[in-house]
Amino acid sequence: MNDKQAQDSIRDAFQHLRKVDRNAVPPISRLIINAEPNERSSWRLPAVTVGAIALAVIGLVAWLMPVNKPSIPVFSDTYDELLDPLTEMPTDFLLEIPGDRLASATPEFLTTLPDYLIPEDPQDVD
Amino acid sequence: MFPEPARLRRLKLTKHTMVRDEIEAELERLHADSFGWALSCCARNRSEAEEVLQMVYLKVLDGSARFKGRASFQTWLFGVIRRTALHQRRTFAVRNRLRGLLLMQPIHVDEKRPDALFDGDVRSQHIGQCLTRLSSRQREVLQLVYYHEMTIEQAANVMNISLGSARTHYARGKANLAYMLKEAEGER
Repeated sequence: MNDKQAQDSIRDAFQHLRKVDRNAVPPISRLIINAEPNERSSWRLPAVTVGAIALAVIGLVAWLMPVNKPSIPVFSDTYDELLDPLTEMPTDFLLEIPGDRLASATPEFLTTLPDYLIPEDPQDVD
Repeated sequence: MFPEPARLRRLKLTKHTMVRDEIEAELERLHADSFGWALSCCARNRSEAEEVLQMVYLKVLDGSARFKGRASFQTWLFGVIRRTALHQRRTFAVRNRLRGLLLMQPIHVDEKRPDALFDGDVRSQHIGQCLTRLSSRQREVLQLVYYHEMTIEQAANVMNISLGSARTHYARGKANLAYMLKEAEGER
């Protein structure tokens, strides 16, 4: 079969198909009239139903879930409790006293000072 | 001729779009050809083709598919039909997969069923069978060129492929179909 014959046989086949199809074309008015309700009912109603069910489920789960109340912070009275011992402020070095370690190592003299009588009011001194 | 629900009345009239009367007239003029093309896109399943065509007319009339004058109205309309048929088939496949996941019975569209397929006569059945054995691209390009008497360039526009690809599919499809038709005639 050469190219011309092939082309003719294909053309003939499609012409036949076309003739057969033409006899069974549905009227256009039927397709247009049926179009709107079918299109609308095909996906909108299921979509709205699924959405409503999903919302209801979310609402129910939210209602049933235990509510975690925010804990009230308890403030400590002492500064040491509040301060994290590991935290070191950048200005801590300003509090350092030269010779602090030496001063803390100075031994105490085991003597007591005499109990001097110091008048509270200088007028009382005779 | 057409019912006019409120939704269908709001067609925008830009400089490229056609007025509603013009669109209606064009749809009516091309209706037979559109049905033939829809049949081809739906593997010659008549009910599916009617459903697709219905959806396409609705899209065109309510303005969700808008003709912008880049190609001829027929080329544009055939493109819309092709895309809608593809979308319909994909939706159907996804729905069936979901039904399978939910352990439900899948919906079978038996394309070999005589009442589902648009048979016509014995010869058209043979031709239809030969066409279904071609690849979708080859079938589409041959249908557009021989059935709808379009040029290969117009067919390429409808199929949204390059002219070179369309030519390749056309040449291969032509050779395959000629061989299959000859084989079918020999069997008869």
